Amino acid sequence: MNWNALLPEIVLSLGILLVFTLELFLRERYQRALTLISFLVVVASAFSVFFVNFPAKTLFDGFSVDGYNLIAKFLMMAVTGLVVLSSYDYFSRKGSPYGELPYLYLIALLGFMVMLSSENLAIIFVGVELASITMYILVGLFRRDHLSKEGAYKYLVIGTTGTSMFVLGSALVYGSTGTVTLSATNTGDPIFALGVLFLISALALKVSAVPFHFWTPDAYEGAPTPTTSFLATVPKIGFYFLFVKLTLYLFSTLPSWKMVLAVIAVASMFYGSFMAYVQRSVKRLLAYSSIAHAGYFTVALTSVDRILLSSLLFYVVVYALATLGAFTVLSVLEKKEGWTHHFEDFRGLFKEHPVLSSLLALFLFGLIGIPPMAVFVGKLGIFMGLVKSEEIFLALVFALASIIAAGYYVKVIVYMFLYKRERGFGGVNVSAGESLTLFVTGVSTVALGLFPGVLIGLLLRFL
Amino acid sequence: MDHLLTVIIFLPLITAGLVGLIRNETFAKVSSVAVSGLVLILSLVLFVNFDFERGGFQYVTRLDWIPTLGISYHLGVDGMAISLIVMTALLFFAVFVWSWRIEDRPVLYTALFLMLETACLGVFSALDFFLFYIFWEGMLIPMYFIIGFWGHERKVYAANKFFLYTFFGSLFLLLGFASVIIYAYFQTGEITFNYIDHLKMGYPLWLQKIAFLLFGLGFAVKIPMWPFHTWLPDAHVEAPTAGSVILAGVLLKMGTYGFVRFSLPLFPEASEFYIPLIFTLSLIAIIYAAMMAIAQTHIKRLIAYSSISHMGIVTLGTFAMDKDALNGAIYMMIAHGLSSGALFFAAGFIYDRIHSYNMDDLGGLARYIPNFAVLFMISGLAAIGLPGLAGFIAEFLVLLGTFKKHPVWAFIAGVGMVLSAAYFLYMYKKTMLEEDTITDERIKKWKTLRDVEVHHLIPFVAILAVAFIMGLYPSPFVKIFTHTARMVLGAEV
Repeated sequence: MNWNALLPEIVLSLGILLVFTLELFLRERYQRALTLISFLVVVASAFSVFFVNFPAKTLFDGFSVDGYNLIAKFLMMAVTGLVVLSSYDYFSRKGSPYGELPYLYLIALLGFMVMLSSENLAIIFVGVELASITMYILVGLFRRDHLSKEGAYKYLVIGTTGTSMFVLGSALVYGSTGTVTLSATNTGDPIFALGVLFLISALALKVSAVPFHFWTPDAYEGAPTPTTSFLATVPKIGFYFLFVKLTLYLFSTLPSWKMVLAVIAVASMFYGSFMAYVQRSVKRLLAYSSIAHAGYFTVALTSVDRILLSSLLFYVVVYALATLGAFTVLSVLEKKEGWTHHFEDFRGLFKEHPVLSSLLALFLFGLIGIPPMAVFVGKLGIFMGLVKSEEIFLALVFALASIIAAGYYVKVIVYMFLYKRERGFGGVNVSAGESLTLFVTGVSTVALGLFPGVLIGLLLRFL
Repeated sequence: MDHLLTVIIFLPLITAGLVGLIRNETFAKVSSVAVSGLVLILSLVLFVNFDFERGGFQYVTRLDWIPTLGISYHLGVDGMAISLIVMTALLFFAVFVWSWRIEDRPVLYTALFLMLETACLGVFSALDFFLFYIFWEGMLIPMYFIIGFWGHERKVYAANKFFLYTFFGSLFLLLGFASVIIYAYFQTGEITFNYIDHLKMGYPLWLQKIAFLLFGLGFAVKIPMWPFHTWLPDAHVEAPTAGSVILAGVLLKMGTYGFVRFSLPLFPEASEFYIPLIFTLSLIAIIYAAMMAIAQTHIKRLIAYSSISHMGIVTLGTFAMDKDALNGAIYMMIAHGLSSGALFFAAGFIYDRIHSYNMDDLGGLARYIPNFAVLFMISGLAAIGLPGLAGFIAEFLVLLGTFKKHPVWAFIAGVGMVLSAAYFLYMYKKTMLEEDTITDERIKKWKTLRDVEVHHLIPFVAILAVAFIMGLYPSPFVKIFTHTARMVLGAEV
């Protein structure tokens, strides 16, 4: 039994149990400490990644570690750590300091880590379920809020459909090939094709690609904003690392996989962008932007090419950082009395909060893909990779969709900077955790744009 | 010496960071003047030490940046680039001195202009497509906020129009870069963003024709060529004085620089092929914009249209495929940068004093602010190409070179240039002269006006002095530009 391979998961699980137990006994006023402990648990677990010997397999080959999933785990833990730190103040201002909150984030994270560590569809499913169920709870955490409940319910119903599609897909693949590991090869059997199609649909649903996106706007809008920032980042990283792995091993054995993914991707890009234009709420706008981004990411899965796939993963990571930053700014602003994220609320925000609005502008310019922000490198890499794989048409569609998307991000910036303030909401103070998150995401959005070689090189080495 | 170019480019950016951190008004103003002055001196050092006998790029720096995509940090300058860098440094220095008295959010203002300076200097020295594009887009955000924050009544509309037009153009430029990089990849199996590598590639005609249009659209929006020019008058009218100066003096030159740097040497056959198109658009720009300028009553709008007209001369000279014409085009970039900068300063001065750009509110000023009237006259004469000033040499060279192969086009362009004298003199008459027609009330107000102060005088003198030097003693500059022309048009010319 190789315990070393399980080190990050063990550290994280023990930490979760610790926080869980403490939460039962501590009084409400000590709950700030729980947030801090949870953060330290994530840090310890992230640190332990460096002590894992890889590649290795354990648990009867059901659990494997290699450079690829260690990078993913590390990045997810980094993002989760920032989310945990930045969420506390928001919940206490809203008068609902739930002690469950920090360890729920960690459990979801654990689910994603398990999901990525296996080459067995059944174990992947266990990870997906663990993460998904936790996230349903997280979205519905505002028990007294209608929007939150509605979002959670939609997410639950549609998300469960997704997981059942995943199970059905795995079962069909098993029925056709006799194995649930990723080494399953195409038998030329329609059952196998159907199974793969179900798996693709399930993943498309989880990453909120059209036509499986219906839960996204409501869940994003209904969830407490720090949870939205979790929902929009960590699952994206996790599911795309999984998506790339499944594409490499399983999906690409099916001849028509290209077509399916291309249709999903193109539909998501345009649907997400056009819907974003008509939104009146910035939070909802970012939800649609995440649908559009699901399209940009998925289009890169239509070909198996190392540069293309490593650019995709790079793009997902920097997208997650910029989105985390943007949602953190929103959650800071939401601490104000009467703040609704409506465009009118953002009028002339620069006068009142020069730093916060500049940061939001930085993240939004980053999401458009203006150099030197990191997303530009991601977009460029995907474009070059698509062309390299001779998918010129998809590359052009991708470029066109990226141009269309620029307008709605700029709209937010115009409201913040160039319009006059009409009503004040009073000041708001930024907690230490929030400022750390904003600092880290802001710096990395620019730094990874100037020195993308660091991360891309790492991804290329282990892909 | 090797890394001086890097120092020049990033010095303003670092200062911008410091200004943002310290947030002190005096520090912002002093450091911006000092740093832009230092950058001007350092760029002059590079200029003086430049070896004009030797071909190719000098002061080259090359470091690996993103090896997987063949991207490197690659800088280098030739005769045209180093001259434009000196001009950029001069105009930014002038702008910072001019803005000495600004009261509205001076820290942010200074920081944005310093960022803009880095982007502008970077564009003229980048030899890597990726790096070039970063600098090219890097100027978009500061300029957007400069117009949006310190502009006049319709600033939001103008800022958005500016952003959308230029962003749209840049994306075509990006597609153009992508198209040649992809072709090179299929030919050699390597992705490279290096300009020098692409120079040696030699593309087939079909690719040249497509890529020329993609590049050309990106540059044409920036120049701006007719019919992509509609953003410019709005941006100029709404922008603050310093923003207009940089916009007209430096930002427009990026487009023509792009044509000379990329379109001509990378796509020589396509350039030949598209001559009729470019010439037609250039002549429409020269004549149509000049006619539009005559019809204006808003002085900044008039100068903006005159810029479009003059940039038409630059594009005409660029694609005449002749050494003299190309020299003239490059000469024109510098000359127009100086003269339009001075003219926008003049317009800004009038607005500072009288709070109107409208000719109907002005008139008879020459008697009350005589020093300014002289400076304004010289700036205007520089713009219309009076002999003895830089613009004349430029126009003369362009017409001379174009006339060799395309006499009819050159003739029409020559007629168009006469119009420039008409609109400038008309504007001067309406604003400075015509004493008899203005009311007594206005004269009473004019009597209280203050003439130019030191922080107005320094920019004017610095800019106009260079215009005189370039007009009276053109041979060294022509030699400098020939350095580029030789490289762009091939060795034989």
